[in-house]
Amino acid sequence: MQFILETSGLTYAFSRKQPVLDNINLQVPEGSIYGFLGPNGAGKTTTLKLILGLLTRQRGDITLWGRSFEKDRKGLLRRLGSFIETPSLYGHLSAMDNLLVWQKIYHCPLENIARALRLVGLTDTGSKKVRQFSFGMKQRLGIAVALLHRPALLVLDEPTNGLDPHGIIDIRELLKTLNREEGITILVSSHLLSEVEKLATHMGIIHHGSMVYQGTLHGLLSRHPHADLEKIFLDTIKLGAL
Amino acid sequence: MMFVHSFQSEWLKKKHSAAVALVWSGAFFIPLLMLIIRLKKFKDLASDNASPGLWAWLYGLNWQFMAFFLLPLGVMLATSLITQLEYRNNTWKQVHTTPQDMSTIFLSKLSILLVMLVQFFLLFNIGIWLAGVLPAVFKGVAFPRASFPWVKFLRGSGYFFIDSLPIVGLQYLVSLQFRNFLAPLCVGIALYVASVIAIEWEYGYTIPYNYSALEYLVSIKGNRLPSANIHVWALVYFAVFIILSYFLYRTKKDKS
Repeated sequence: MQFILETSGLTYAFSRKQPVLDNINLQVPEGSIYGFLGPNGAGKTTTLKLILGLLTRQRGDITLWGRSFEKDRKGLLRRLGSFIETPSLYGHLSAMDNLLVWQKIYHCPLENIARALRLVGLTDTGSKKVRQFSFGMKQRLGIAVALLHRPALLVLDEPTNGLDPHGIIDIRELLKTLNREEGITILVSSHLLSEVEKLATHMGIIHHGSMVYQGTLHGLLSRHPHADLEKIFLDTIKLGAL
Repeated sequence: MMFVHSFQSEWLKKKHSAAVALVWSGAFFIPLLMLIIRLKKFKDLASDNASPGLWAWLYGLNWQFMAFFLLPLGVMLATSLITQLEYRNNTWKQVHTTPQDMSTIFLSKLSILLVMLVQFFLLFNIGIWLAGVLPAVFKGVAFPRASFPWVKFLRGSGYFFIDSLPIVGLQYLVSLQFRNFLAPLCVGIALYVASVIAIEWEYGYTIPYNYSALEYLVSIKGNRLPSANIHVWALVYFAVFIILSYFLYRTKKDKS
């Protein structure tokens, strides 16, 4: 199987105390929607920040498309779109101007702006400043920023956090469409089991900084044919391993 | 080429921002006050406009308030506002996951600050010119007899530009390091107060926020020269602050 993203032995500590990540070996297959699941504080965001180079790597390796992140940072970031924790938006600018800010850096066609806005359903916001947007609109615009340069891999950290049920369904359908129709590989973290279940083709479960399961969703369910996913998840993180 | 794209992106970010409003209002504030005062004293207008020393008088008056007060505080505030845009909007994490070198990000932001400073000085000189010519338009007196000494005034502004660089450098350093907007402001105000206290001190030129006031005292008021070249001191301070700032920015553990 071809992995678009791999980490090996990724370990990280904010201080000399207990590491927040311990030997994380993440393998994201090309073309998959990889649900990175874990309770709050499990280490999901720290893992994603390390993958994106936002935190300085301490131990372990990160490769994207088989290339070391540190050796080809710029080349790899050009093929990657991200959304970490909260949307990164300039409140004093309109949606269009926000995307223009990133369009200049990626030097991608201007048409990409209209496309990204259309994909997230924000075509009619005009000159309205982003600070006047609802939370859901900001969340969608944050995803538009990640999609702007048509990346091959999307790294999304809790993109549906704080959205109403309608907003959650919209984002889920958008991600499925992007994966199916444009072949974008998606690594999406969540603490919502039901969300990952409906969206992901593959899954990694992290608990207290350690990976306790990695594989297909089908594989996880088939090991416990008579239990529901919630029970399997709770058993998994309780036991620390299957 | 990446630097150009990055600069364009940074230029867009400052659109509608408070820093832009500060540049425009700060540049025209004192010339506007001078204009109002001149219009109030309209009896002197004709003789003032006929005087060959009109522009030097206006330039000196405008710079008196600018050099001591508005310039250091304005540079401090504008630098902090521009740099803190990323913290305030939670956008550092997005900036640092774009395919740009850290040095490109650092230099493009710094370039925006320097271009805004140049813009400020140009607008200020235009303001001085307007304070000179507009009374003639409103009050029907003759226009100033002497022509506006653009080259001389822009050269003078160039020195004030150099003298402001240490403030840009240190405020940039502090603003890049701290999420809290108060941190760069507190450092800036503390150093500004120290510089005001030390202005008469023999070694006052060692305080990096002092140079615009010293430049005014020497070049416009004709005071005695300090025992050191303040422009060289300003450039050295700027270089030190920028190198240190880049080192700290580059080695920051958490870039989100």
